[in-house]
Amino acid sequence: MKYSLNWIKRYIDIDIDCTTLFEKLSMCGDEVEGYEEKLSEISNIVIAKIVKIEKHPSADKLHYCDVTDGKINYKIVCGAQNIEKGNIIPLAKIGATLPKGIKIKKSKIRGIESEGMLCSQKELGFGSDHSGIFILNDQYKIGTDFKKYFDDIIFEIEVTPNRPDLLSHYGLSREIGVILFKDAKPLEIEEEIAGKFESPIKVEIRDNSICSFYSLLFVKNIENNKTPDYIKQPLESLGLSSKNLLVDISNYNLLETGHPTHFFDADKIEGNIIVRFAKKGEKCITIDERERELIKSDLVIADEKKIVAIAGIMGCKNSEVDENTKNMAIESAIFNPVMIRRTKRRLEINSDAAYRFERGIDTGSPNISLKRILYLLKKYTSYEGISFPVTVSEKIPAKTEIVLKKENVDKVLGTNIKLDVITKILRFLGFRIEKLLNNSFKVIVPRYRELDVKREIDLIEEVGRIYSYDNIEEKRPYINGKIRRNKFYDFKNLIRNFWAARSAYNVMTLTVSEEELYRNYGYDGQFMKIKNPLNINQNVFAPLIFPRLVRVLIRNLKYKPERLNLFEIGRVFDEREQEKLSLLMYGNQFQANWLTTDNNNTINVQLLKGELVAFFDYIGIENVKFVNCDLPYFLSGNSGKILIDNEEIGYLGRLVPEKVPSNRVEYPILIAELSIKPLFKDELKAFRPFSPYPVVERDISIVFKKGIETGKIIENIKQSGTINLKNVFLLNVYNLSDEEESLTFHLKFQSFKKTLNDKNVDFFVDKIIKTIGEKLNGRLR
Amino acid sequence: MEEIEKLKKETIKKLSKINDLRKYENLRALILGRKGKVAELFSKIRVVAKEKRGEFGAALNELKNELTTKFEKKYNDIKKANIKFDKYDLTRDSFPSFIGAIHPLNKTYIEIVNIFRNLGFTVVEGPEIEDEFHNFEGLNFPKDHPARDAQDSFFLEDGNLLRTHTTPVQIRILKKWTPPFAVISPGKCYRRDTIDASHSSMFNQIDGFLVDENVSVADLKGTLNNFIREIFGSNTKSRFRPHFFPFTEPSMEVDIECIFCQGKGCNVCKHTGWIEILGSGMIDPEVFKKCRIDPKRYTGFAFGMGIERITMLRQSIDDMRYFFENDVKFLRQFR
Repeated sequence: MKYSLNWIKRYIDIDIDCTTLFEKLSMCGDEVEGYEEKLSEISNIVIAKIVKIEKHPSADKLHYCDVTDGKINYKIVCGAQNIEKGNIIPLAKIGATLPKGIKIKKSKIRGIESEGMLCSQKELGFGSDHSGIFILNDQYKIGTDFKKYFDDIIFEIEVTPNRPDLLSHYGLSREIGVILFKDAKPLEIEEEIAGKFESPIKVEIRDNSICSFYSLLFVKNIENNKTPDYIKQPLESLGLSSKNLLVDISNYNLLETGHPTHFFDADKIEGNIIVRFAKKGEKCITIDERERELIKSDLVIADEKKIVAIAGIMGCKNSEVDENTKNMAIESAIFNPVMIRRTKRRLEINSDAAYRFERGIDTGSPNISLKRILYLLKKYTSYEGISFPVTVSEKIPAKTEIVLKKENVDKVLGTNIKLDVITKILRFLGFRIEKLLNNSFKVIVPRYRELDVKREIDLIEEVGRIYSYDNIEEKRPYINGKIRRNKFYDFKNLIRNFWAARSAYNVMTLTVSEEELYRNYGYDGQFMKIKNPLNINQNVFAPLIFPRLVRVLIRNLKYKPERLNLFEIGRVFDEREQEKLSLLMYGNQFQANWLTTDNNNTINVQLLKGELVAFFDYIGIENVKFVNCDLPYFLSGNSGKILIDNEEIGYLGRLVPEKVPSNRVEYPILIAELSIKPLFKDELKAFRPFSPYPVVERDISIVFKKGIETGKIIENIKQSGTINLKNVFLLNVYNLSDEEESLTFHLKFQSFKKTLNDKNVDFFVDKIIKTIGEKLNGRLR
Repeated sequence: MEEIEKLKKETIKKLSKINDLRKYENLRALILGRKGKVAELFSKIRVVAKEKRGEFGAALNELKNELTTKFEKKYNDIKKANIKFDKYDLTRDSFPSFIGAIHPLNKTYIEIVNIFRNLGFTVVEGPEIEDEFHNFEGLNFPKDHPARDAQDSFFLEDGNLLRTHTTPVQIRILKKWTPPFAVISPGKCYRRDTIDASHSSMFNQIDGFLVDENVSVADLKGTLNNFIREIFGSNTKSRFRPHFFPFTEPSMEVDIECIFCQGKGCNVCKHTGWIEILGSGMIDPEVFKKCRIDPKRYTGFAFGMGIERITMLRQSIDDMRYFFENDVKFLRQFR
């Protein structure tokens, strides 16, 4: 909320400079977010007096005046008609600055030199009045800088939702009083609501849940005067333009006491006031001249014919107070904050009233506010009389009483605050205190804090924030309890380190993204959709990651990378929320230079498989299988699934090029995406003895019909070899004809018991060849 | 006997002239081979006079040994002479090597998590898809309350929502574990914010909390000041400014003295000399009650901070969007 410092000063003397004050406010939890000097644009304006007025010799409508600032006489040409001899006025001297950088220079007007300019409120950037020169009264000393009287500082505080009592100038003055250990002056109010007659308008509340308090006051034959500067100036300082006295008083009261009231033109009300829910589709035009369509849960104030206000949010055009208003009805109520909030959000009306009602109104407010309005009406205008208030109210609860123990203050704050310090803080905060035994008190909460101070802990916070947390000495806690290591968290960092060292960039992309991105690559599963997306680019919680890696790749193609590998660990929604690792490999993985003679430059899905095998080796996963399998995202015959212990944990493949929305792509894009959980095995491996005997190597070339999976061949070799066959490695593939190819395998044999001789190994190899022949029709080349 | 002497001299002479392996092998075969000259002499033993046979044999053996040694030496000399060691200019490029990088936010995560782990905190990660109870109600955010304004949420079609902070983990642990415990919880969060230089619909947070008997604001200050000194330097000043959070009472925001102007006032700190870096407070007794922990026996503190903000401050990054655009020129700067 924005505050005027001058307004605040009406209730409390502030004897420190404003930056110190703002700092102190911030350190009490009322963070000052910024401030500005209202009249920063003007300078060299002085309070002066008109000594003599003559007619301009050559222009009927102009005056030629003698003006004094107490020392020097100035000859001024002036066109305004509201000036008289003896008026105290603001004078812009030669060299003065007015808003928008206007400089006052010596100039001739119709042949006569003017030594400055007399100013209107508007010309000073001070108010909106431009009807004539700004006439002041005798209180303003001539010769004084205009700013000394009229400058103001507008500052903004981020009022937290628990402090609705601060949403007013008087409320903030009370808070400043605590900081300065001074009491704010009491608000001047009418002592009694002295009703003289029965109100012709009665009130009916249709449902108790919607309004806990409603009071209506009929004011008869009221005169809607011109608004005095006392009311108008602070409003204008805060950017509210003056309308008419009644509307201005309503606004003034809102910003002063924090309680929104509503003024109806009573003659525009037909019958009684009814507080009720709107009917579906019911319409009204609010005072901002917009038509609003309502639904059944919206709370309205209606008369017997029409809606006259959207309760607590905004009044309607049809019952607005204006210059012609004779009789007025003042509403001072407390509405259900939840209902106000729902309607306000649905209709997107951010009125001052709604802002306060949704935060809550204390039960003391409606009456104080009414009495203050009556005081202001009495002072600034006249009326024939007021009715007895028509009040419909639930029983108002007694004031909150809380027992506060000093030991609990010390326990929570971790310090030792003296008793009298605690009581002093609470007293200045407006709490009434009764001493009980054993360093404890009964604390009675004032009405204006009843919404947020309900428990002992709330009082402890009040003491703490005024005492200042900075005065509490820090202590390092000893941490008790079981130490639970989260090895899975460490495992994920291990994965990141592996891939980063293995040349991939760790990226982070937005999980909330657009459905279309995933559909584009062929995802046809379920989506976890967002019910209230901010825009169409963020309408799902992603089911997979890699399409976003492709997007990152495309973004970086402008650098023409020879190669770019990316990875991300993130959550996806794929049947359930789970964590996945996604990898993207792009470009020439073996870039040639002067050292590399043999530039083996084939980029295909085998490259990525190799990286994955290295990864599984690194993290100690042994039982990995790659299974050929066509998947919708990938080129046919260029993809597969990854199995661990025969359970599918992910896939890899080469992306279908046409689906990539960029024409800068020069190399195949290889993708893998896998679940992380199954990769993590919280086990400590035990030592397995290994053979000390030498390895014997053999190469065998076998001719097969094409189309037999090499995995199957290797499996057969392994099964038919003995436990002494330690390793099978595909060395070479030779194309024999359209039907046949020859595969050369490199075999390694090693025994646990002895050094194998040629005869032993020949025996094993024969066995392998025999099995391959029988099962897969392979023959020795 | 002269033959022996002659063969010895000739062979040594020839051998001395040889400097490649092929000629060496030829000569070796000629002299020491199975049908070589030494073998030929051995076969002549039978025709030598009986009384001289012993002497002759001994001389032959000596010859054979001597020549074998000489040949072996020669073999090694030739080998050595034939190996050439290339010279390399180290100012030339090596094989091209490629190295990736860890995302700067993950680096900050690791650093912060480790600081708290060293104190004895346990890492717990929670789900990103949460229910309203854990994200709001359990944390004292009533439905339709302005306190929710700052945490505009993405609601999902199944009635859940994307967590708006990492604090729901607190509720999960309070319900599951028995105090005392200390937990640090890193993770992604989501709010319905339009993306700009300081907002994003996805962002990263770390929440922490400690529950035990007799935990106080003094403990909170000690823990967080330790963290601040580790992360921003041992001379960093801090202040604990009262604030409001529904789930802590009392609540406070923590500011550090502006690291750009040393508290003198600049644009970054909006001329206040201070920069807000985290929110904290004592866990509200109401939260304990909702999780069936006795607030009379236990107290606790909690805190939460934005990883982007801390990374941006520490590494002078002026726009949050860099983190999620993943330009490699950005990523490789923070290795």
